[in-house]
Amino acid sequence: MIKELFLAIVLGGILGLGVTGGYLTLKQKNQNPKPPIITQPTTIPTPTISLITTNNNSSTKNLNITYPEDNLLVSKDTIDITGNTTSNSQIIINTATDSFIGQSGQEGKFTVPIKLDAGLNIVKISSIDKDGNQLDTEINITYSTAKI
Amino acid sequence: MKLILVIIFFFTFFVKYPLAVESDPGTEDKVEEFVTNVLKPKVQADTVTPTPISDKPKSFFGSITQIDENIITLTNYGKIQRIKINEKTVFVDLKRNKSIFKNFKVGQDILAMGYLTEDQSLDGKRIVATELKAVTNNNQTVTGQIVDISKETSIFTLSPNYNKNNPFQLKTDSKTKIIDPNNKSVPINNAIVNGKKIIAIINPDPKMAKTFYASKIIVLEATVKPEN
Repeated sequence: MIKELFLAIVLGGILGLGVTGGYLTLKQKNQNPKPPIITQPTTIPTPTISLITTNNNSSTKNLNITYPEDNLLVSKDTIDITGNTTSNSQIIINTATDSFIGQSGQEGKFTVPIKLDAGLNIVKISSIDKDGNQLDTEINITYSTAKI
Repeated sequence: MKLILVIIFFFTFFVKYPLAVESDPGTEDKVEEFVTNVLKPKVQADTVTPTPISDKPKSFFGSITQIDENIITLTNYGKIQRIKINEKTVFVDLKRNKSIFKNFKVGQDILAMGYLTEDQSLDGKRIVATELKAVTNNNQTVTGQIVDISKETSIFTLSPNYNKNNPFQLKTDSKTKIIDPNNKSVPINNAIVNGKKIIAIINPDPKMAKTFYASKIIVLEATVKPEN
């Protein structure tokens, strides 16, 4: 009698633990999602404004402005526009009141100094290669001597 | 006997079950910990002065579409930008006089200057009322071949490379600069010649429809017969 009683208790305990343990494991998986991880955003790298287009010969050409970045605020009325495009291209840069001309080198790099008007300047940059293919892009530069 | 065994079995099972439930670590503690250690500092950070992510000052231009307590929302060619202002922000009206925030309304074009923050809004230091027409750049560059020259006026026709079926009428005057790629001056008689390939910087003529004024012409090469 005692043996059977003891056996019943032991078996019951083992079965009970097994079922309970399995239930808990399933419950934890379904009801305990990981909290969202909030990370600090990294510093935004300086953007390069670029334009990629294709000509009639289906070859890819590009016009990238490496400096200045779009929407830059400067305190001087002259600035060098630098970038890269197809090699040996004519570079034309237009502001609202003037235009400036340069040329890209063998590697396609160019630097063209321009003069800015006071306030916002919508600067249009065009590159024309030897075949007459034209690429255009545009950036905003603000010239102001006000203390920011 | 069997009945006793069954009763003991079920008794053992149900004793374990509620204890196991009570001993559940509970997600409530974890949620509270998350709120205290992660969310609260984040919310508090947003209510203080925004931290600039670059020491390079920036400017945003556009038309005001929304004004909140301390945020101005702009739109420019469909792009939406936000300007955060505070008691130190300087406001300037169209006549370049100091103004106040209340004088700026939805629809006003403004030039906002300041520093870019982490959420890509601008920490506005100076807000200047601006008219769109004052900043519009109507100059454009076109390259092509001269296909026709007027004998009576200073107008010639340019067939652009990008669309030979849509020629431009270009007008010159004494102020038109005519140069070669090396920036050397070229006489107009050597430049405006049928078949010549040029780059022209043009803007719409306000007096003549479908005609553009050429402020600068860059002569590219020797005369070539016009392509038909």
